[in-house]
Amino acid sequence: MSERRFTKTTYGETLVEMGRKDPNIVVLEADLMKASGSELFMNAFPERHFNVGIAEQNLLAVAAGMAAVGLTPFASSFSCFVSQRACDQAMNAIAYNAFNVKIVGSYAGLSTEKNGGTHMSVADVAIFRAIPRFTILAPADCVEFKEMLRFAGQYIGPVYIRVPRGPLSDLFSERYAYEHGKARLMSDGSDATLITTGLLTNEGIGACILLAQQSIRVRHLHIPCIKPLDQEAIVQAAKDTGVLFVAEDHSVLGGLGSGVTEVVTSNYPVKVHRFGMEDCFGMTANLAWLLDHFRLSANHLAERMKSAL
Amino acid sequence: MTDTKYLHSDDAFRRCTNLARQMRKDILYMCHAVGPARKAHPGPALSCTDIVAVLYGEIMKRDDKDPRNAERDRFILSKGHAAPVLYAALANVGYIDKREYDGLRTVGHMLQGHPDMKGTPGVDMTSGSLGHGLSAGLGMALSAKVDNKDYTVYVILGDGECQEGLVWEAIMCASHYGADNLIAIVDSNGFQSCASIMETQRNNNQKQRWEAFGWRALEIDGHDIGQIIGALRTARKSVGKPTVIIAETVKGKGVSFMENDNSWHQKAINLEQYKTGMKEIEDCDDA
Repeated sequence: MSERRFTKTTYGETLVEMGRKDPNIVVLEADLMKASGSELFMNAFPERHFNVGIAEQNLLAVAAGMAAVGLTPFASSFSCFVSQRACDQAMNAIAYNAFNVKIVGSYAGLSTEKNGGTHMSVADVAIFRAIPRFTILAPADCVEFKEMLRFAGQYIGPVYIRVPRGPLSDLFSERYAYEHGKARLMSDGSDATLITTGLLTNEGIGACILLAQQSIRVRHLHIPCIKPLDQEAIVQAAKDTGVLFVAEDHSVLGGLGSGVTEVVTSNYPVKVHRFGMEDCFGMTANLAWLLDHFRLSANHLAERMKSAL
Repeated sequence: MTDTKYLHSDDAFRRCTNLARQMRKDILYMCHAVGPARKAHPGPALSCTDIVAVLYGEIMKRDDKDPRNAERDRFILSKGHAAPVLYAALANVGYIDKREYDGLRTVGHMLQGHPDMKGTPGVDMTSGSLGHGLSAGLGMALSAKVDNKDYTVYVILGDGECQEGLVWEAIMCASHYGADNLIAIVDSNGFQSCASIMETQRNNNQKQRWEAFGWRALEIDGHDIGQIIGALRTARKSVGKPTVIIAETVKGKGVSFMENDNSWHQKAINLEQYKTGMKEIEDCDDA
């Protein structure tokens, strides 16, 4: 039974570890330091932690100003609000200037659970994909999240990290090494390809096991880096398996599914089935119920893939 | 590094008045030279020319050779559409060449329609999307404390720009953090793009609002060089509180047919208008 951990602990601990080595790292919050976990950093380095209050636009524009004078800001808020409310600041204050700001969108997608539909980010990936210069990362577990944070701290340029709330089961071992821009092969096969990210990777693992029991061998690609996409791996999968399924807790419009579709249609057109939020809002429920309701649980994924093949 | 110390009141007054006059001529030149197809914003640029002249001519800690000196004071023209005033300042202090004026708003040229820090030396922060500048300036001001540096950040906002909610997020936050190395200046010319302030926002009591958020507010005539110098020096001495200077100004100031005529928010200047305007500016006997 693998450990289940909250991403907030990883965020706080990793920031503190990085903050000890790099004096340029500063952390900004819009009144969510307890939710995000940066409270740990606030206690360790109070002079480098800033709470701008419930003001997400200010969060990102202040981060921009800090990056302009050479600091490395990590700015966090719920993924829905940081992408929707502060979109112009991400675009015109940060990306336009190629600033070294790391935006961490917490409680991503369905993981916000009982907070309900107003808090579920169904469009954050679509928004950030359309903003030039942004790198988009989406961890599937706390091991990956830690490595992504370390990567973000070294990488020069704007980064958006979409983080589920948790608790998350560890999918990767401590030896995990993040490879920027690369898909990760979870299991191989030639009957179809399943491409997943974030929470859906765990469901995808389950789905592939179920399908394997029915002699359907699926290549499962996990996407930790949504932008830039690993075009090579996706095109190769299209060539090798002939049909792609993409699953995400995000709208089927504009997210990972759309990104994959863009890649294959211009390189090696095959059918791409996009699973996700079907241009709709979420609602208050626990994660298991939500995954079942939106047909994104392992069982549903397996069933939907089988009937499409 | 040149320390533009306040040497002697008459010298500073004369220096800034002359600089403002030259900048007005340069603004007119730029807005005319780019032709009828590339409409710049002469009205908004002229209303804050005196303030910018004082900042660059007297107040700001600058490095004459290096516009990126890490210890420098920063300036953000948050009302970025007034770009010609910033470009005129940068050229007159030697950060850019005056030959760049002809390329304003032209493809492939350094002087973009709104200030872009990526390509123009001396631009401390890109602007254009209204409302960002005060937050960005606050970020810089807070960073000075983190980095143990001693610089001041000056931000000019438009009065219409203060309708953006983000501005008030920054005002609240700057007050909370006691960002006394952040100085805001509101270029209060009474107009915005398509209407006057009064037609858009009946209640425009700037001083009371900023003070209610915890700032110190000074009101001045934004075209009186002496008052501008005095207010900025007072603001610099602030401890524990950020300061805003609410400058009453005239849109299009310095060119009689532009003053308080909002059609000059964004319009090209023809040859006749250019000649008339230049003569008025040259004949103006302020110093």
